[in-house]
Amino acid sequence: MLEVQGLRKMYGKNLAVDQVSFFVPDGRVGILLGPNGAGKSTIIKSIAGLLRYEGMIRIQGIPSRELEAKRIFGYVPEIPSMFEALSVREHIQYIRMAYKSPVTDQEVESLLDRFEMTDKADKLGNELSKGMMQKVSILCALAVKPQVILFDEPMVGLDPQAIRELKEVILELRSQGVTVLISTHMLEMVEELWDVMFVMEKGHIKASFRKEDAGDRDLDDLFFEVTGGEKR
Amino acid sequence: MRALLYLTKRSFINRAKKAVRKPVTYLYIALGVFYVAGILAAFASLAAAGGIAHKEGIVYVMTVWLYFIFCSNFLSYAKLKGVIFRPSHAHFIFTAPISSKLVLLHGAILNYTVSFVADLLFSVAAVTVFHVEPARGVLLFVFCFVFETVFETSLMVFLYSGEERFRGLIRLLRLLILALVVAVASVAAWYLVAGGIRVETVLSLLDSPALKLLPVAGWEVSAVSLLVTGPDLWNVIGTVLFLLACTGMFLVAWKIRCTGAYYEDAAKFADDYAELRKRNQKGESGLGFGKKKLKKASLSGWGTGARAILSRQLLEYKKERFFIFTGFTLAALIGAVACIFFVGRPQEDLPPELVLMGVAVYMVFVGTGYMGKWGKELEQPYIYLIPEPAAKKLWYATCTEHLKALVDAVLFFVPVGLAWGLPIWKTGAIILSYVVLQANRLYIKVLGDSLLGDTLGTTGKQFFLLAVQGGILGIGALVSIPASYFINTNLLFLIVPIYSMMITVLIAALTVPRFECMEQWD
Repeated sequence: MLEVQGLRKMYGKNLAVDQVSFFVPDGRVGILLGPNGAGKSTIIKSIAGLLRYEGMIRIQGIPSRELEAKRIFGYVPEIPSMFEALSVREHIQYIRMAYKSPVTDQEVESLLDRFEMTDKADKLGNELSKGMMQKVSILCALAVKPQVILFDEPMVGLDPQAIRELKEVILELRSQGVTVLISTHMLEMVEELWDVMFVMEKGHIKASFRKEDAGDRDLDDLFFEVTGGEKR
Repeated sequence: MRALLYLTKRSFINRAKKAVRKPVTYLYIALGVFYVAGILAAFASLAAAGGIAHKEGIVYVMTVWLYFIFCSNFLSYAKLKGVIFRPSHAHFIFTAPISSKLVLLHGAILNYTVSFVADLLFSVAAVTVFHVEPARGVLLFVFCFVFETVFETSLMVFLYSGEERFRGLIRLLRLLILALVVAVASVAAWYLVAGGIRVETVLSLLDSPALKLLPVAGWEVSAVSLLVTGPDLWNVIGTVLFLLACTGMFLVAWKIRCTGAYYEDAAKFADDYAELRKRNQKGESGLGFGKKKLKKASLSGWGTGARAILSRQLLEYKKERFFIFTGFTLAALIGAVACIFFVGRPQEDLPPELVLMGVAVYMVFVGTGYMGKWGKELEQPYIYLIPEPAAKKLWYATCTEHLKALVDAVLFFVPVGLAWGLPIWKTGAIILSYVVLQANRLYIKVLGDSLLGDTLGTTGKQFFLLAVQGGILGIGALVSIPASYFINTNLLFLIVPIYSMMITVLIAALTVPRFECMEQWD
């Protein structure tokens, strides 16, 4: 489970996120939605431990800055940045060592295969295209075998086959009891994935919905209902 | 820790494997060896010229170095900019279950390398140039490297940990460092005023107990002095204080709680540094981190077609803080003041107009690798999309660069020309040659990019630029200098501008067909 309580973040004098609280239980997919500048990335980076913040973030009940929390946490940032001189396979090996991950060689091969990276496994970080980097970023997060995983705009740069595969992976993670949080603008991409959604605006969570309460309304309807826009 | 070691080891092996396949690596190694030998030779000749080619000499040299490195390191660590992280660190290391202290120690590998190389160089110089016994030289290296690293990394951990309760102390330490700089400057000023600007005064300043007892750089100077020249009262006190400082700082770093709060600043710095590296690789200015602040500006009367490129550039420059004026403009102004007030008119056996033409050619050559906005301009797809002839687009795209070169040239050559009493037409010829040769640099860049693509990398392209521009300048010199020497000096001011224009038109003509599309650039 992922728990965010009273999260507040200021950049200088600008208040980016104010008193944000939400909770995503085990085996659920949470979606963080909101227009540009709403504060989604700030929340994501705070959870990943990349920002200083006020408030409390817990991963499986452990404060997110603790090493124990980091060990069970996978992160796919919006813009992947590779180690220039490490191959794809070495990136995964580094993750296995850093997280003391129980992932097996066979599982690694299977992941590489699923994302069509087997033939690129020996390519170095600076030889990869943006789409490939995104795939490596996803593979590394999955190699952690996380209990909580966070995706920031994960579909950007992926080819249709990889998007389909990623959606399947997310559903598998959910069925394994993993907590998933996805921040995205691409509503149609997460339509069949979500269990709970949080709509953000100007640094606050304006509304949250559970899928079972949404009835016939799809993500678009719910989003524009809150933000006041019009669905086309 | 194992993961970080694995990361370092694999990165090193992969880089080495790649490097040995590139011929340019061997060139760099040869240049590196040559450079180190050059530094040692320079040490030797300077030490001999300054009368310090004895044991105390290395203490003097290291005094200057230690004060400089200590103050600059402290200030950069205090601003959390002393350790260079990369965006990949933020992605894969800051988020991993690795102690943030370890992450910091691993991130500072480059810093240890610099210390290692500098200490090694000083120790070799101590033995080979300053007649220090080899055993003492080895001891000097081991002592300096070990204790400097212990102190520096401990200080780094303390400052990066950023514990709330130490904020005040860190601010105080920053003030103390500034006070230290002021104190050193005051002591230096006092010595120079009292003893006059002479080598003896400088040596007596470097020998003074004050510089051996100022914390912490001074204490390390004491230790160096003790190791090299043997004990005296001041260096023993200073060495004891240095060892105590190292131990104390180490214990503080060991005990302090580090939660990784520095990740935010480190990640931001990593992005800024990556951006800076990218700009440097393109030959843009190497100064300034982060995003540039732009003013609000508007432009009336936008040009159409290819002229729109010029309009856009002018609007961009209007938003800049100093419009089209750059570091080169400032350098031109400072250079002009220096030439007029400090250098003065050259003697009769060296005609001033020849000196000024030489300066112009030198400035062109030195500025060859600097591309300013031009490198960025070539990456804009919009230029190639405008439905106009390539020659027209190339002209309008380079107009502001020509204007910038003209402004810089006028600011430097006109006042100097007037002060040195040059005929106006000769000053004009020098300015024309300068502007035209600067234009040449832009066209060679386009030509080089399109001919070489990615085959030689950024450094290879820079070499290409330097080789072509150097060749053009060299041929020009071969033609014009004998003509001016054997026939008439005035001929030089006719030959150089005409030759420059001819060659620039030729290069531009070769460039135009390459300016049709941007396919070649990547």
